[in-house]
Amino acid sequence: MSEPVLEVEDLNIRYETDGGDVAAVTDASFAIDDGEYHGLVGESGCGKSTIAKSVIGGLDANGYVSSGRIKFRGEEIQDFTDGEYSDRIRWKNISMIPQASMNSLDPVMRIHKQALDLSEVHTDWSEEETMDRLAELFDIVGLPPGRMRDYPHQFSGGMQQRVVIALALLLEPDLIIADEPTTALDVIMQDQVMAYLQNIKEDIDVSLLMITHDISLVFEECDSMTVMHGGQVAESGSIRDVFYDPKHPYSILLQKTFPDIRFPDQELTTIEGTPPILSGEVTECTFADRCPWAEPACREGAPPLEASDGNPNHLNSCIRSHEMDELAADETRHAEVTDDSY
Amino acid sequence: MTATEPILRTEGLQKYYDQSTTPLEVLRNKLTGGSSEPIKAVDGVDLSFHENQISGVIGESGCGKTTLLETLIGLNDPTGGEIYFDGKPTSEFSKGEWHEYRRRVRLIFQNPYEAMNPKFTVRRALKEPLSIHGLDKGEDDLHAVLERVNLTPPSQYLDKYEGQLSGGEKQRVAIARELIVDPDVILADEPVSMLDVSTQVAILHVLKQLAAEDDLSVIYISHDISTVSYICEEVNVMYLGNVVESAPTRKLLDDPEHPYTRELLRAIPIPDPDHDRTRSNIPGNPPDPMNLPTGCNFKDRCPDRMEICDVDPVLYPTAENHHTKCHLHYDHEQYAETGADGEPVQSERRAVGDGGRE
Amino acid sequence: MANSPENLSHRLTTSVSEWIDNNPILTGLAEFAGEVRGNRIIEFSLLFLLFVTFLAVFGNVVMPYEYDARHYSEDGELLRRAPPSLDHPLGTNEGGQDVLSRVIYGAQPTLLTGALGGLFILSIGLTVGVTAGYHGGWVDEVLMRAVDVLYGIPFIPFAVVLLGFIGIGFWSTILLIGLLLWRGNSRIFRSQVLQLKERSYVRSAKASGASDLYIIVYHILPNMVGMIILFLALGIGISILLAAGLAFLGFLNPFIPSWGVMIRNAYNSGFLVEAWWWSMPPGFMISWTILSTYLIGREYERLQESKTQREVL
Repeated sequence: MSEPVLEVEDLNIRYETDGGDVAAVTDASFAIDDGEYHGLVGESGCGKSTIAKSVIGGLDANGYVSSGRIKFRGEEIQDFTDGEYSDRIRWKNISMIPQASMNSLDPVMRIHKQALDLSEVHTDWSEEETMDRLAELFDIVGLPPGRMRDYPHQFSGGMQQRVVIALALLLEPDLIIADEPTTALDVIMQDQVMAYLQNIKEDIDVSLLMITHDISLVFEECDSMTVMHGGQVAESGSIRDVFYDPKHPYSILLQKTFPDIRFPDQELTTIEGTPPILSGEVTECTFADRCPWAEPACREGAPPLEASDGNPNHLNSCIRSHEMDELAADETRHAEVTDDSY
Repeated sequence: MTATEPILRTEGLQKYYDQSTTPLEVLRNKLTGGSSEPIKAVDGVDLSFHENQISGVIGESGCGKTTLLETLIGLNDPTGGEIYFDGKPTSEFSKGEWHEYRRRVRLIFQNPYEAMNPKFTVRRALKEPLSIHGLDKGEDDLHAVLERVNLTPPSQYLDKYEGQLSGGEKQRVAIARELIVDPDVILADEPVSMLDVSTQVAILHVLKQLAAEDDLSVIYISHDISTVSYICEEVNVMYLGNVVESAPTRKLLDDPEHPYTRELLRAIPIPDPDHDRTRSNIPGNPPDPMNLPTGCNFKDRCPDRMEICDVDPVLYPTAENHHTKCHLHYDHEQYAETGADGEPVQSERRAVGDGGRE
Repeated sequence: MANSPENLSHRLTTSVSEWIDNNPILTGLAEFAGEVRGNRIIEFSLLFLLFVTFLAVFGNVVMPYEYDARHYSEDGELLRRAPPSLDHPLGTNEGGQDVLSRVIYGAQPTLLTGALGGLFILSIGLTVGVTAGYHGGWVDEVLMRAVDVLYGIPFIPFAVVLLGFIGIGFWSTILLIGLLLWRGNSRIFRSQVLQLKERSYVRSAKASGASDLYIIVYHILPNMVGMIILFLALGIGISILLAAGLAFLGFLNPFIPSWGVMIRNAYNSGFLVEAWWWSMPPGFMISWTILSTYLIGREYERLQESKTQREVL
């Protein structure tokens, strides 16, 4: 097994505020292998965007990694300076596609110019090499290479998103981080963007960390996933593990809040309460207030991530996980078989 | 559909916008001969909404659903066509009747974080529509309406400010504010898209309950077919200012007729790693309301386009409750004879036979 | 008895409190006073302004001498430009007059100019900005083009022309400042209104049938209070400065020692630097007054913003 492209180990990230330090991410761990598409799912305040930013050294000024490791191909990068991130990580090894990224295209610069800017700063490629590479990528994401010299506003929203993906791939990074890549898009555009993201897998060897609140997307498009709540990793593992054998109450219940168009009559579950607003240290399971199966022990210290049923690739942080199959017996929807599957 | 009269109905509703909005631009256009073609945001829409029912209107951005909403609520005037409320056309409304309409037809907005004036307490926000409509209600009524939206205990919420409520709570206060004047119709514009997923379901359940228990007609507008299918009993699909298909939810999902509806349904992600979904495959750009083609608005992207699509199809009843605006689905000869209002259709000479596909 | 003094005063207090509670602007002001306790700078600014107001109202009582009394030394010589001493804590000016008394006396005309000018600028600017922003369309076009024209008019030549018609003096100065300077805030108010107009709660009130006036009074203006106070503070400041500048040019009665006039006289005497006790006190007073109003205005706006964001858990 080669080194994972990205490995996050016991990561703790804090924000300094007037009222003291806020623990935005607590003891998070997950790994992404070569060519793997990994979904990071959670609701507001769960820490998924924070982790994404920390990987490329893009935390806000008052954010810092208080402990833990971020490893890129085995090398620890959490303590890099901004200069080191710029030189060694950003664009070349890890690319980030931020939220509503069509807004990150410079509106007064033609696309190919923006590409040339990138290659000039980070590589020693000739102009011709860059343009060839860009044309190749345009092709892979389904954009006509003849439009490389257009301005961003000449593309529609979905196409702009694909332009950003093409630029993110320009310098051949090993990992792309996409933060809510399709939230601003209509469902048909979303489908097309996701189709092209899958295409990329066939032509280029690149891993994807997709951050989203939409668990349906993750189940469809990703190979592995991590579910987060209130800064903690609730569950992490392969798609099939988390889908068929979820061990954390949040993963179990979260799946049931998403409508499945195949079963429109199925009742959706509500989860009590709201995602917590974090402040200060985290000394308990942040899902405890909302969990139907919480016990006093759940509030005695942040629960550790442990292997589920002995599978070291399927982690969860519920201290009652071994009882979950029983406790949540009527919650797991996909166990039901209906006659009219779509 | 129920046999009773619809409480709210539109007939050929149109809302066009001028491309130039300021006097300066109008002048400039006249001088330079620029485009003065209006944007046909809503272009001839026929819809009916009944009490005790939740209807959905789905469509992507640019389809005109927001404009439709604003016109229904009276925030702008229709360019053509008619809205019938309780049988009476709104174009004949007196000022007093409009005021009454605004009490009985209410709108829940998309953004719960802007739903309340940040300077208002919940109590003040709830009292506002009461004072606008001259209704006198006591503290008990405020409590009752908060309970209808599951904000309990109500006394805990009445004196809170907007900034002290969660997103879901804000949206519920917004709903309560609309309910307090005893309306007949509630229009909801993407009411849950800005909320966390775990909160969305609670709000959807509140809406479902309102339609069932309180004789309300709920009209739910969204681009998210999954949530629409979850709570709506019937669905209307909009594309570029037209309703292209209308059917009970289950029927629409099982048997979509319009090519756009089919593509839309095909594009929905299925939360199942083992489900092999064929992707939607629509060519061309997403719709641009500014440069509409002649004939069917969808023809440039339609995988089943035919020659006849250069003529605008009508919204044709393919089954008792199922209407589709597509040449593939209607018997042109029959229509030519009987028509919707007795007028023969242009497509007479190019009839496609029995309404089947070519 | 129903109309006894206690009852009446109780009812009065109750109605005043209700009026404050129902009026978001007043509630805000009352809360502001409570909230700035502990903030040294703001406390100082508030106290300073109170002090200046006190001077403006009661200056006559507090002045050690008449503002225009000339003082002579024991030899019978006019005490020109005497440095600070026990008799004259801020020294004397070129004409032997006590600077301290003149500074105290000058508080009233300066504050009046500032307050009236500031209010005038604010009223016109706010009315125009809100009307243009709320109604849009051709009303907006016309008003904003008027602002464009006004921006093109230079202040001093305009002053010369206007004052040529209406004559110099205190009220003319206020009129002059108000008529031109509102151009600076109206656009900003307008853009704020444009933003607020699109908020869901405004559109909801509109869809509900609320009148435009109701919406402006209860939804638009209360959410602009921070900005209004800020521009009031800035307006006061700019009025004082401009009036001082006009005094320099002789547009104001040179015998009333407003602070600006004092600086002008010190400058004209040629001893601006040497007789620092004459030029600096009025200068400081102007600066600190403007700064205090600005700081309070800004703090109020900041508190308003943070109040709407603050979530109580």
